[in-house]
Amino acid sequence: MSGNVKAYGKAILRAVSRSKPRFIAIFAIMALGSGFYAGISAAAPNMRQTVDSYMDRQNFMDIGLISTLGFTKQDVQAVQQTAGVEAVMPTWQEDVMSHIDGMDTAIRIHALPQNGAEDTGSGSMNRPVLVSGSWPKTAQECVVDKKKTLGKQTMHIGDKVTVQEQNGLKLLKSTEFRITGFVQSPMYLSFTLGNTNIGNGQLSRYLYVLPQTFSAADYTLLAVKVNNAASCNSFTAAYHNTVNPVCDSLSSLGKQRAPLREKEVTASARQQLVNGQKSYETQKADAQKKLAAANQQLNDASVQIRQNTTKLADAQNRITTGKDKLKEARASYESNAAQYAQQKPQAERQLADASRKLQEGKASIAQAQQKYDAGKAQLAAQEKKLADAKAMLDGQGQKLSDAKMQIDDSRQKLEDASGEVEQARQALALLENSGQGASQEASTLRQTITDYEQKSAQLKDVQTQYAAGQQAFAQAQQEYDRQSAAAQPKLEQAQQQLDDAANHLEKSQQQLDDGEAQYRTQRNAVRKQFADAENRLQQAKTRIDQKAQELEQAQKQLEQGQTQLAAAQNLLNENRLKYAQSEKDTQEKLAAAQKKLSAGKAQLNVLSKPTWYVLNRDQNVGYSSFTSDADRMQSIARLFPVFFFLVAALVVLTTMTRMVDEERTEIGSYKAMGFSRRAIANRYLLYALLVSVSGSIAGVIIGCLTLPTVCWNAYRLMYNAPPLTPQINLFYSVISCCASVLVTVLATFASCWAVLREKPASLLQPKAPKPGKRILLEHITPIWRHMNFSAKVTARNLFRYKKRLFMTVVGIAGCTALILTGFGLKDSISHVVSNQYDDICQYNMVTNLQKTLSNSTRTILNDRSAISQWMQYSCRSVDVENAKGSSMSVNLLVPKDAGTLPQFIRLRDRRTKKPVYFGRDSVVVTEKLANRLRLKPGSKLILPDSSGKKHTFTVTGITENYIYHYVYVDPALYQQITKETPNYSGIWGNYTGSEAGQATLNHRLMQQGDVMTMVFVHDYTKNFDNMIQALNAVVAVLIFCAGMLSFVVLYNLTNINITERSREMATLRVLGFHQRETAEYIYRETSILTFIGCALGLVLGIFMHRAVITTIEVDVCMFGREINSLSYLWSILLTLGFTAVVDLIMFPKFRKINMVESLKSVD
Amino acid sequence: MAFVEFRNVRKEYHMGNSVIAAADGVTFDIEQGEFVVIVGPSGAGKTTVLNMLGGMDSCTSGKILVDKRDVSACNDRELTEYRRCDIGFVFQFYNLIQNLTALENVELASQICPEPLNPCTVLRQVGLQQRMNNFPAQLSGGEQQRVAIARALAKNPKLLLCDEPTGALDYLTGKQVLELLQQTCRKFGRTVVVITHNQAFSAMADRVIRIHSGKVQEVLLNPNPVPAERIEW
Repeated sequence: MSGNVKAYGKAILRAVSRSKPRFIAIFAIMALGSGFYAGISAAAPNMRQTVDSYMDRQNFMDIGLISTLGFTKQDVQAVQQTAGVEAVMPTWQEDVMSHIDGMDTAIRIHALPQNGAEDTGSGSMNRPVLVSGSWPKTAQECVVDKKKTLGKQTMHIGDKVTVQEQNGLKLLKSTEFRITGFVQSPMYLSFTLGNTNIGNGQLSRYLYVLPQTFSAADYTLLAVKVNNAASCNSFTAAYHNTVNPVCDSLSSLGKQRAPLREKEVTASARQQLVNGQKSYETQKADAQKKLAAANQQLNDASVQIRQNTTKLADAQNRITTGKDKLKEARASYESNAAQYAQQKPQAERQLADASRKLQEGKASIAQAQQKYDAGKAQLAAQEKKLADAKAMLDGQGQKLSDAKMQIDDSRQKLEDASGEVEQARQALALLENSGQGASQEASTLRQTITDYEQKSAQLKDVQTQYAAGQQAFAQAQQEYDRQSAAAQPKLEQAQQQLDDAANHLEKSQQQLDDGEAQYRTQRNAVRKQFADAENRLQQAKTRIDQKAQELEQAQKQLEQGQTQLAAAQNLLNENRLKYAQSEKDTQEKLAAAQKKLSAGKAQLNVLSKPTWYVLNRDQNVGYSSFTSDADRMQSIARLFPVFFFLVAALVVLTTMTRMVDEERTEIGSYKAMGFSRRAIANRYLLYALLVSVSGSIAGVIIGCLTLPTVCWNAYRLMYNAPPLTPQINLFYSVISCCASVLVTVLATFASCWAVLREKPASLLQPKAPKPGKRILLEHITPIWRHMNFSAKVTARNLFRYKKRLFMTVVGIAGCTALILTGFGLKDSISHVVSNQYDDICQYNMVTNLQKTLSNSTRTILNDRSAISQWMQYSCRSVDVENAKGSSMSVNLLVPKDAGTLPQFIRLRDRRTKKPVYFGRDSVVVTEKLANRLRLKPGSKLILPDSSGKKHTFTVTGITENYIYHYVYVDPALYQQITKETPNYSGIWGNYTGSEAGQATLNHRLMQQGDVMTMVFVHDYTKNFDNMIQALNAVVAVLIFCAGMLSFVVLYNLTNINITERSREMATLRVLGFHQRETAEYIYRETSILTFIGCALGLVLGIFMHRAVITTIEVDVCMFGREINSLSYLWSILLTLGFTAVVDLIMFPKFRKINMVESLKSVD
Repeated sequence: MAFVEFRNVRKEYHMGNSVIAAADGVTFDIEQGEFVVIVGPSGAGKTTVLNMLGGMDSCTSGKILVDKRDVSACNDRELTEYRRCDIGFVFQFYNLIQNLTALENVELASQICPEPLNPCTVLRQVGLQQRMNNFPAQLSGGEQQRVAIARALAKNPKLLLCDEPTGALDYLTGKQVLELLQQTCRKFGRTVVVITHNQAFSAMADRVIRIHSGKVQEVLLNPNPVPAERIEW
């Protein structure tokens, strides 16, 4: 039989080597499936283990005790003696302020263990790990956390840190420390260090100093180690069961120890309080006196202002009257002026007429004068004519007389000359006779005789002429005389007429002169009158103007007076305001003082009952957030890897089935040879065992060593924790391996069994080839006819091998669904914060009040430059019940004013995005609450009031919400039903100021006595963001693994397809099909199957995603239900991409098809 | 120059360290239009010869010429092309595509070669006009082999190569197939090469090539081949 076994072993090995791709594929799928399952499942336990051992190593306290009054040595002793306490470390911690990284921040100072941080004794708790540098050696040195700001370490070794103690505490010997190194402490696992009651309420750093740096005698913290707690994992119920009883006994110890402490402390405090009260009273009286005096002054001023106001009113009256009068005067002046203007032209016209008449008179006189002158001239001319004629006559008479004289003269001369002429004639006659007649003397004598003769002749002529002249003259004389006689009467008559005319003229002239004189007189009179009138008018006008000016001046004065008065009034008002302010201030101061006193009293009361706070690890921010993160990791591991494993198992199962089917002839041969069924089956079972065991073990090892580390490294983005210690989680490894092996072996066995039951003969007979069949599509002739040949073949092939179709489609669908689920997880988780805080919540600051809102806080909130709007609400954590009695813990939120709520919380339906009405009688619940309690609009909802009494409300709407559960109730309805007024101690605000202003605002608000806490929303979204970043990294791992699986599955399926159909392909090759054509023949089918698988996978993925989301969802959250369209796209692209890559990888296989060999066999 | 020439063709297989010569210097000629029978016992190397002749395998050395084409020098792609255009194969187990009807199987071949015959005509020639739309599983062995022959013929090949075409058929059906092959040769002048271990087929061939241990034992020319229906075995 041993030979047999050997042959068997060989046969199996040969089977492996013969079908290497198949073996590798199954191996890989098995490894992926089991490795992923084991790895992801082991991540959370592994993380917890790592953190737990870190905490144990650093001896992180199990319980921390804090008292309002500190602890004495006696307290320490009492704690030490409590049952279950292994060790107590009395130590100090204090929250102080410091200026670090440019901001005032709250930091916590811890004392290092007494024996140094390296001491590993059970009494040295909360030991930090030194990351770099060295431990402090003096009281002026410290080590600081290794936190980085914006990825940079802003503090360096050697830097100084200065701190201020708050609230008048003086616990520290030194307030300036030199940094000697960087540490990480088990007390601060997460980057969020925790809350404090100073600064902005958040611790941003922590320091460790030497214990001697603290000067206080009383310890502020007792770190307690519980017996046997270290041996339990801190995250298990066993641990809590060990620690919780000790917590309880310490609490009761606190109640015993507290009264003892009380006596020591309260006495002096009471005295102080009394003093305070006294000084308060004095100050109060003083302030009130001052206020009274100021008030009197203000009242005086007010009276004066009132008087002045009256005076001004009188003046105003007077001015008004003056103005009226002036108006009248002006009117009469206007009418006079008008009259004057009218009369003046009339008078002018009359004067002009008179003047014209005068002119006319003058003209006619001038004419008459002219006539007269003409007549005179005529007369004169006639007289002159007469005179001329006389003169001429006279002249002619003269001439005639002259001529007579001349003639007489000449006659004389002639007579005188006649004697000579006779002598001369004689003389001549002598001479002639003498014959000397011809001589000179004779000629002269002759001449004288001739001349004489001539002259005598002439005289004779002249005498004649004279006679004629004499005659003419006589005649003319005669004529003249006659004419003169005739003219003389006429002239005289004319002269008479002229004299008359002259007379008349003179008279007219006289008249005219009189008229003119009269005109002149009149005109002057009129002119004078007008001038007078004008003068009067002018005077009137001047007077009016003067008056107006006076009035104006008065008006101006009045206005001035009014302005002054107004100023005075303003001043008064201001002073009043100031007074009010100072009154308020005083009152506030007094109130503050009062409050301080009351606080002091209250404190004293508290002091008189000092409280011990027993804090277990759950109260540690790092521990608790790690716990929930680990839980979240665990819940992710709950379903997703199972799906993953199922897909892998399914693929392996079909692959093994096919392997058996393929080898049926061989099985027949073995059977024919006489091997028992078991022996034959063993062959395949061994193969299956070999591949599944080796695959799953390899997978589990790789998965357990890598996946938890990858996840933890993602989480370390938000945790100060050591790297993961990789370990094989036996529990999950065994589960995973067993499941893999079982699935594979069972599948193999099942298919072997089916084959083995056949008779050897029928097995040896080549299995009848699966007959071709007409598919349904062929009966739809129009479509079928239009398909080309290869499409027809593909279509028929697809439907021919239904098993293969099913397997391929399911395999691909599974992978696509896994990828989509991975992406969907990412979408859902990352949407939570943005949906809640960007979309649903419209406020960005949350303030909680001690009790009621004070006016000073209200003033701060009303500063519109910082806070655009704010509202008050009341919020209580209550247990609601539905009608059937199922209950859930929710936040009951009652806004003070129902109308403002929708401005701060977007109430809407998640699917339709339609707003949900909130107003009168509204009771709106959040979606997850509605789902959990099966609430619908109209459902009954039972809410307790503050005293616990239950009241029934009716749900009116369901709104989208992602974090926590809320019931929003209309205040009016709430009051009406519960008969109580909610305490509106919560405030939501919309901070719109600068980022730098946040700290200031925070500071200002926290200073108010009534403000308890104040946070900006981004402070806690930051927290959440970190968590989501870590989750995203985990999801990336999921997607990556799903992608890997998808790839391997596709590889396997394609491989099977090709192997199974090698004969068909050989035939095609022989027929002369090219390699590519042959590949297309196969790939066309694969592609179609991939598409179908893809589509189906998307649908499947939606369900898988929903299942996974509802599993991993934390109670207080509702993860997004939608998958981004981009995620669908990515899933499709990845699947198709993998198909393409696999096709490429497989392509060379077509070349290797042995035509000759495959044609020999029978299919 | 003959239509097909085999010149000293060798084909070696490496089995571990030993070299086995499946064809050891094979030399023969085939003329166009001849009905050739290559005969020899199992393992003599006939199939190797046929594979090399059909372009499914390449020879280690020597020369193969088919219609002046040097098949022995062809690369993979050229061989595919050669099979596609010049060769028609008929196998012992028919190798029909089960998922295609008789007609579609013929069409599958005819659609890829340059000068195909009409698939219907060819099927009618092989006497299957009634069964054209049947799937292989619905046909008898003989009918399936006829479809295979029709598929080979539809490509209008230069050479029709048949590897034990009657091997899976009963006597009568086998005879009918042989008749069909002979007819194809005689009627359509196609060169047909039949490989068989059955000596009886030699009588119907124009040329008989006897192969033994990878070598050509003798080449006989048969001037008077008998019709297929007359041979007995």
